[in-house]
Amino acid sequence: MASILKVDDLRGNTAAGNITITSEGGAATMQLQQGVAKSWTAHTHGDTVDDSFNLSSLTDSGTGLFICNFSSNMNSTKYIVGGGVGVYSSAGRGGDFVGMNMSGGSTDNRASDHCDVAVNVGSSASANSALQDRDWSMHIFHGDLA
Amino acid sequence: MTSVLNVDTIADKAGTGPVGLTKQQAAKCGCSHGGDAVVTKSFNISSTSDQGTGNYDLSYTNNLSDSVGIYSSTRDGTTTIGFTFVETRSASGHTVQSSGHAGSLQDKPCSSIVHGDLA
Repeated sequence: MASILKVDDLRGNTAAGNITITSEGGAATMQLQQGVAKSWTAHTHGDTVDDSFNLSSLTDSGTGLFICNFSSNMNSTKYIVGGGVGVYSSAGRGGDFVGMNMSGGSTDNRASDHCDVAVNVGSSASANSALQDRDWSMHIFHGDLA
Repeated sequence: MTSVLNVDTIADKAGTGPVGLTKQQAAKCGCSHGGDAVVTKSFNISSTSDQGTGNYDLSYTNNLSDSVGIYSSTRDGTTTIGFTFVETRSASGHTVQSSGHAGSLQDKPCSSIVHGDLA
């Protein structure tokens, strides 16, 4: 019979923020907290947040540019950013890209309380891409919370 | 009343397998590295190596169960941003490449997130 443990709050005993889980194959263990996303959002480029986690607000900072403001801050500016972009029409499908924006060219715009992200579309062998507002995009952040 | 369980390790009833995290799954690898492949933040990464301009090998500490993971990657850039590609993948690691917006490989900081099953 399957055993089910119902609990509201799960904490490490030795350290509150460290719980070890066993891998699917049983050959390894990993820290649960490391694998849990610390913030994510899916939003339209009309600036409607469809769903989010640990997001206090979304700022439209220009064409193809957005700022994800965290409710609970990361513990540093060093964290991992993933994402994707969606389009509804076939005309915009080629070369879609979403990533972090460094507007200064050399300044990392990951901050502990927010991350700048950008949507860049349309690269080909003969043409450069450009920042564009598309239909929607999603962003996910891994790392350590403060 | 809120129930709190303090525990160091969660395993299945047999003590050797994973438990089901109902309607949730943890990422199995994450890595943020500079254009020189030096890690700024990671988990389940044993090493990274610079394989040439815009070309980075990432090796896992604990392998995936197979070569079919779910990958997401981004990179830093200027306002004219570039792209990232997961070029090769295996149970023990993957290669991510970074290109400029016109397609040429460039050394830029990149992030990768991998979901799937561990071995």
